Formats: sequence, structure tokens, C-alpha cells
Amino acid sequence: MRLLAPLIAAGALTMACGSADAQRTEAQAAGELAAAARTLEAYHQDRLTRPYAAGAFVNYEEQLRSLDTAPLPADLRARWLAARPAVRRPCLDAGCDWRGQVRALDGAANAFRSAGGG
Amino acid sequence: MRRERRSGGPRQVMRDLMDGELRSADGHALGRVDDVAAELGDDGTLRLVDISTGPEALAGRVSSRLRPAARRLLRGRFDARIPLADVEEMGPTIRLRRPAAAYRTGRSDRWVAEHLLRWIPGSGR
Amino acid sequence: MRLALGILTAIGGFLDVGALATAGSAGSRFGLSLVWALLLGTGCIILLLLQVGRLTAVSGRPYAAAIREHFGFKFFLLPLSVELLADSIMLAAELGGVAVALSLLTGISWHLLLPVGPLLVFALVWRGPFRLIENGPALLGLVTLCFVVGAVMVGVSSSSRLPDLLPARLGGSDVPDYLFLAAAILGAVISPYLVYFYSSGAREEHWTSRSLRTNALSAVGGMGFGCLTALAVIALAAMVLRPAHVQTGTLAELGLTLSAPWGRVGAVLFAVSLFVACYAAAVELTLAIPYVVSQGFGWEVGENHLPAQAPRFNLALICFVLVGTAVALIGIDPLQLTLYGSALTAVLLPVSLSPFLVLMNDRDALGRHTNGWLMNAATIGIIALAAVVAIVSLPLLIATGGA
Repeated sequence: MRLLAPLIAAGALTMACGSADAQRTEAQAAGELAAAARTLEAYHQDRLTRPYAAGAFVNYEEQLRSLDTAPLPADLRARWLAARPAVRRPCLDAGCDWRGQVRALDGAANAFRSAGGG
Repeated sequence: MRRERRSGGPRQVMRDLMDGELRSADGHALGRVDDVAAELGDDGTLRLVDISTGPEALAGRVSSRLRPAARRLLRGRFDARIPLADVEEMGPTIRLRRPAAAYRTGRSDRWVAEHLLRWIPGSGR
Repeated sequence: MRLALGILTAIGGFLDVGALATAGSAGSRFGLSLVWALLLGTGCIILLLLQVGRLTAVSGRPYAAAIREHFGFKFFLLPLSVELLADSIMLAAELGGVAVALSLLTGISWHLLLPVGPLLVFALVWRGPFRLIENGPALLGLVTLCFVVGAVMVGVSSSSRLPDLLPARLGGSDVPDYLFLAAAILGAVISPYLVYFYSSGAREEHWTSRSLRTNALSAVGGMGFGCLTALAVIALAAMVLRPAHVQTGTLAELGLTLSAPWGRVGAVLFAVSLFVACYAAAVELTLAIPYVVSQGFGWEVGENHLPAQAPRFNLALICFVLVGTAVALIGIDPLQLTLYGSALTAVLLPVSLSPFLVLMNDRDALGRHTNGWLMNAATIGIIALAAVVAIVSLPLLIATGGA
């Protein structure tokens, strides 16, 4: 019987962490998406070198990979799918639609930020 | 350096001997005093006999239950006993009378140098 | 160049991936409101280094040796295990930081570049005499001044005013993250491996009681320099990243702060600074553990010997590099790994710091150089702070999942 109280407390804490977790995932994703957008933008404004942008996007892709399997509401999932090509294959050449990619990334970032309570 | 003891007289074993750094006469590090063996004489006096150094001695310090297990595993290969007569000076650094080659404790170092480090270029072997 | 010991310790131990990660996260999420943690941590580490430098200079004993001699082998196992655990993670994080820095310079994935860091570290520590190990990275480390210059430039040209840099209130969900970052900053700045490395360096340099002024200059100057650069990182993140809602989840994002004033050159400067800071820290960590182990077991130590003259010391070094590399190869993002490692260090701080109070008041070892009442009071305060941070950090680490 004496074990019950700590167990209940542990259970409550885990549940609290669980729901806070979803919000945290969304807030973190928003940050990474914003970072990706700013990086891509900076590269095309000649404020970053190509190796820098390429190296940075490897990290962004890794951080955002978990969104593929995370439980997301429909609108966030749509935003993520729109932004995902930009994260996986950022356009670092001259003749591509990098502005479109930045828009998609920013759109996703804003959506995730609102959902994460930012 | 470390300050000299202010007076002669009886030494504190735990402070001046135990865990002290062992140095040979030619200045090489030989490990630390990991344990001390004492003998209870017939006349009731306790006499320090020798210094033990090595993993088995250390195991015994951590727990008396570990000592037999350590002995079975290591079979005395890495432990050494140094007679107290060899101690020239006590303190945080225990200076011994003889050069490093005269003591067994340097064996681990030499073994590592000869068998492991030689394969790495630039080790100086 | 005796001052270099403090500077290397600062650049390597202070401004490393831990300081960069926590400062960047703190600035981008909470503006300047965590500066107090950085300043507090700096004050603590300065006081600790001043003491341990004095201990080693006067008694001839580095910290680990003093612990074993004073408290016995059984107690010594505690700080030893704690250091092995925390420093394995931190070494992996630093090696990861080196890999990320190289990836930003080459465009190659950091996973592929991971083996380069350990090789470069090993090359320096295997044969390098202590002087080279001190002076080399220290001189290179001056490049990290770019953060300070960058912060000034952005600050002067930026439209954000000082009040804008302090968030108005913390939302409910922010509090655990805020506290976690505060604990992580303290854990990143008050790193016990710094203490062990600094005192080992003092021994290698044969400090005596005449070296106490060098000790003071090294500790204060070195840590002060590191703190200044970390402050600049917080400010840069607050001014450049926070308005853009970038939260420094990766090290690469932090470079955007330097590309703001300087464009491509800034990005390169960041990558180089990241490389130098992480490399220097990796070198220090790689040496700190073998020093602790060798001093504790009474083995021959030394960077001023050939490897074959201090075999077990060098064997410990090789093993530790391998362990750190193995952990790094697991592939956890270095910034995330760093936050975990710093929080873990914070949890384990009381174990590493508790011997101070006894050792610094030992008249036999220190003669007239024992602590005065003020230093003792400060040390009690530091240990109390460490205990509070430890008690608070563990549940925070679980609750925030590493912020």
C-alpha cells in the first residue's frame, strides 16, 4: 500500500511529461524549421558559404526526421510534408525555386510555433 | 614542495604511509602504498612488516569480500610487497632505498610499454 | 608563457561545446535573462581554480593525488567514477563538435568526419610536450574573440534595445526549460575536469609558492576571457536568433549570428572558432582523465615524458580516447549530447567539489597558505549551490528531455 503513492506520483509525472512532450516537439520543430529557412535565405543572399549551408542542412534534417513518425494533427502534417523536400534537398544552386522552399519552411515554422504555444 | 615534518617521533600510519606515493631511489614512480601488513608479536607489540601495492591489495581496501576473488583472478601477478626496511623516508612521498629496477612494481609499466605501446609509432621504444 | 595555462584552460575548458551550446540556447530562447547563471558559474570556477592552483603549487600535489592521500582509496573511487562517466560523454560531445565544425567548412556530413577529431587530438597529446599543448590551442583560441567583436558590431547596428532582450515573463511551460538551461550553464562552466587539468598543469609547470601570482592571473584572466566570449555568444543569440524564432537546436544555427555582421567570412569564422574551442576542450579532457587515474594510482605521469616512459598513463589516454570516440560514433547530435552531459556534470558536482573544504584547510600541506574565512565561506557556498543544482537537475533532465 505504501508503494501506491509514489507510483501514482510517478504515473502523473510521466503523463504530464507526455503531454508537455508533444508541445515541446512542436516548439523544437518550429525552431529547426525557422533555422533552415534563415540558413537557406542567408546562403542565397551570399552570407553563407556553400559547404556551411550543406553541412548545416545535414543537422536540420536529422533533427526534423522524427516528425515523419510523430503523431501530428492533420494541418501540421500537411505543413511538414510541404516543407520536407526543402529540408531533405535544399536548393543550393542558382536556377531553382529557393524562395518557394523558404516560404514552405517559414509556413511550417509558423504553424508549428502556434501549435507549440510559442 | 611539501613541507618537512616538524618533529621526529611516532609516525601516523594512515597519514604518512597509507596511500602515499612510492618513489624509487632514482626518482621513478612505483605506485602507491595500497595496503600495509602488520604482525602482532608475542610480546603484544604490533609491528609493521611490509607495504603492499597492487590491484589485489586495493580490492581488499574496497571490500574484504573482493580480496579472495581478486586473488583468484590476478594470482599475485601485479601485486608486490616492499619490506619496510626499504623505506628511506616517509611522508606523502615514500622514498625507497633502491633503484626502480630492484622492485617488482615497475613490471606493469614495462609490460605495457613492451607489449602494447610498441605498436604505436612514436612511443619511444 | 605561463599565462597560457589559464588561457588554454579557459578556451579549452570554458569556451567549449558546452558553453557554446548552453549560451546559444539560453540567448536564443530567453534573451539575456540567463546571464546571471553564466556570471555565477564563472565566479565559482575562478574561486575553485585559485584554490586548486594554490594547493598544487604549495603542496606539490595535484588535486586527484591530494584526494587519494587525504581521503583514502575507497573515497577516491567516487570522484574517479564520476569523472569517468561525465567526461566520457563530454569528450564525445567535443569530438562531435569538432566534426560539426569540419562539416561546416567542407560540406561533408559530420558523421563521416567524426574520426578526424580523435586523430587530431591524439596526434597532439601523444608526442607533444606540455608547452606545445598549452600554447598551440591557446594561440589559436584567440580567434574566438570574433564573438566579442561580432556582438559589439551587431549590438551597435541592431535595432533591438536592451529591454527587448529580456523576455517579459516566463510562461508555465518555459519554467522547466529555463531552470534546466540554468543548471546546464552551471554544469558547463563549473566543470571538474577543468579543476583536474589545471592542477595537473600546475604540477607539470612545477609551480611553487612563488607562482601564486601566476595562479591568480591565469585563473582570473583565463576564465574571464572565456566568460566574456560566452557572454558575447548569449548576446548574439539574443539579438540575431531570438527575433527569428531560432532556438539553437543545432550548432550550425549558432553560426547565423556571425554571418549577420560579416556574411560568408562570419560563417567561416564561426566554424573555425567552433573547431578550435572543441578541439582544445577535447585535448584537455583527453589529458584530464589519464592524469586523474595516474595520479590516483601513483603511476608515472607526464606529457614531458616519451610515451614509453609513462606507459600506463598513455595507455589510459588511449583507452579514454577510444571510449569517447565510441560514444561519439553512436551519432547523437553533439548539441543534444552536450546538454545531457552538462546536466549530468551538474548533478555530480557535489561529489567532485566536496574535498575542497578539507584539503584547503590542511595546515600540513599548505602551511600558511590555507584558506582564509572568506574563501572557506565562498567554498561552502559553491558546494551548497552545487548540491541545490544537483537535486534540481535530475528531475529537470527527465522532465525536459534535454530541453
